[in-house]
Amino acid sequence: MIKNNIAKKRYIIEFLFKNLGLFSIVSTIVILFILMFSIFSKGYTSFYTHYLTLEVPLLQHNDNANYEEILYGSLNAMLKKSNIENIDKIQTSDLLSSISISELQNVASTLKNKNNAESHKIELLVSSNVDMVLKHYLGAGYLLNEETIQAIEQLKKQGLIQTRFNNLFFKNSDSRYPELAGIKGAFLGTLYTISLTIIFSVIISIGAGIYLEEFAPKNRLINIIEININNLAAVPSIVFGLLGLTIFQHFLGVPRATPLLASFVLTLMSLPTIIIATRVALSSVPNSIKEAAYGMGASKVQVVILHLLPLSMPSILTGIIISISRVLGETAPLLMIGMVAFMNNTPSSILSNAVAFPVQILLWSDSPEIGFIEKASAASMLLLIFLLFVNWLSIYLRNKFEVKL
Amino acid sequence: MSDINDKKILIKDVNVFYGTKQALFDIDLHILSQQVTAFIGPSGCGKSTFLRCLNKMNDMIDNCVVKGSIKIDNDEINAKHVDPVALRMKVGMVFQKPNPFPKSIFENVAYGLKIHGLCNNKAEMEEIVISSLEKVGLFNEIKDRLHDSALGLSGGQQQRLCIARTIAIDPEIILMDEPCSALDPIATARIESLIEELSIKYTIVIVTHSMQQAARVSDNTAFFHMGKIVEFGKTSSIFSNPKDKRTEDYITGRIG
Repeated sequence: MIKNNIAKKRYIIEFLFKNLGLFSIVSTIVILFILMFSIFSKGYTSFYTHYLTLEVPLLQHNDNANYEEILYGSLNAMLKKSNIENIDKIQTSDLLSSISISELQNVASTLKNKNNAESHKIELLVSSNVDMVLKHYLGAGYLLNEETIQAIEQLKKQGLIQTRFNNLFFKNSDSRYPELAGIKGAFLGTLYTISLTIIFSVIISIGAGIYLEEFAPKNRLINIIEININNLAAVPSIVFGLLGLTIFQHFLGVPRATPLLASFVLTLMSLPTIIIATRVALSSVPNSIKEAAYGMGASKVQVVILHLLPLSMPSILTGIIISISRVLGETAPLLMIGMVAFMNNTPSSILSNAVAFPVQILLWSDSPEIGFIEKASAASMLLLIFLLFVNWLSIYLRNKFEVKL
Repeated sequence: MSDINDKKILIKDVNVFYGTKQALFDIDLHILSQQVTAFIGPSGCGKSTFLRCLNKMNDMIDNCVVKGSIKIDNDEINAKHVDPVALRMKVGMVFQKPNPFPKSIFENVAYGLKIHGLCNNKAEMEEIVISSLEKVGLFNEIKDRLHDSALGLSGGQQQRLCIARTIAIDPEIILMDEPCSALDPIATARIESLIEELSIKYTIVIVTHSMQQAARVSDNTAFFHMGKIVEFGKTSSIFSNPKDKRTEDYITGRIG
């Protein structure tokens, strides 16, 4: 009788324990799914955009040509031809992208010698506001009036506005105009920064981990260093940014807002995690293997290189990836070193000014223009995909290096 | 027999400390060349600690201090300047639990040759590996799977592989720390007969829990108790005619 009661109690506890775990897993998946859905449903529109087909009169390139007049003249003509009502109330200057005039100029210069046509059809990028109307982000009365919105919808119906893949998003860097803003600058900035960070942090922290675990004498100084490394892992990232600002930029003179400076700061951030992972991995190598090697007369360096590193590589790699994934999405320390500025250039080297991916997301989501919202979501999407790729790579490498004991 | 020239290892006044705790007290001992010397005694009596002094394995333990004089072929080894790498080439060691490297059988035996750079070419290395495996009687059993993982072997085979790995670099002394404690009786018997064969060429020091084993394989026996050597002498005389009461109690099974 007593036995049965104990068994029953145990079953209930086991049931609760198991289902609590199940509940945690399910809720994690649901939250993750909501996050993904929110980002993807807002972001995917960023990958297409709209172009307006415009018939312009025969373009003859010369310095006196007034392209603005030509552009709006043909725009008005097209609106008339398409039987749009209330043309005088339409905000024609808000329809096309700000680069339309220079685009027209470019087309004119390439057409210089072709005089056999009377008029020419060209496709021009629409302004961000028109794009937003077509993507149903923007209603009437805010930035465009009722008549303009009706006109846009009519033009779309008549097939004069077309949907195209938004290659500008991948080709361009940041811009003041949402329709022209792209991710390339931020992508390259992050690529340079992270590559340098991986190189610096892996070399330094594996070295430090090996020294602390295998070579360091067990004394007070080493104890203090160990405690401080563990503490360093808990330091808020903005503090690392401050440190980078004072030491690397002001004291050592590393140029401001460059991938090199950012990689120094992010290396500092990733050090403690990788050092701790390295030490744990090294100490988990079975003592019998170390004894066997030392017993055979292997030197310390041989033991480290031939046995400890190969056996602990999978765990060290996991530590590296966790650490790098964390700093990949890090924004705060980069703000401190000036990477938050608007930069419409594409970084050409580790010493040119750049923004990083997460900072770009911050900048876009902070912008007043409605067109930047989808850009921010799309950039988040790409960052997530990048992270997924990095994680996949880590698992692949870990399985590859795994030695069965 | 006990000519001074035959004394391969000469130990004088060895004291070992783990931090403040003393593990061995004033050990005086000699180990005769090309004979098997067994250390017996209850658990924690310091026999393994003492064995590890002979190839400086205690250096790996941070708070372990070895004091006194240990001379191998009249060279002092218990000094700071002695290189443990060179010493361990001369003094090989076999551990309690078989501990082959997670590599192939061939690579395990070739390991010492590789790290010390003892072979000039591949053929020479192969020759030494095969002859080492033959010496431990393993070659015929595993000749088809020389390049398979050593971890696929049975416990007894693994232990013989570890012995082959040790003799491949041709040491003069082999230390064995309870080499049969993790093995079944048949595998134990094989290792014991191997020890007998090896003692023709090598000086062997073996730590064992089993008094029968000490009686079977060794020429000399030292009985350790509480960090001290109680009795040391010919195995036959220790087992048949112990001088000390504690030795008698131990070998008759009253203590330990």
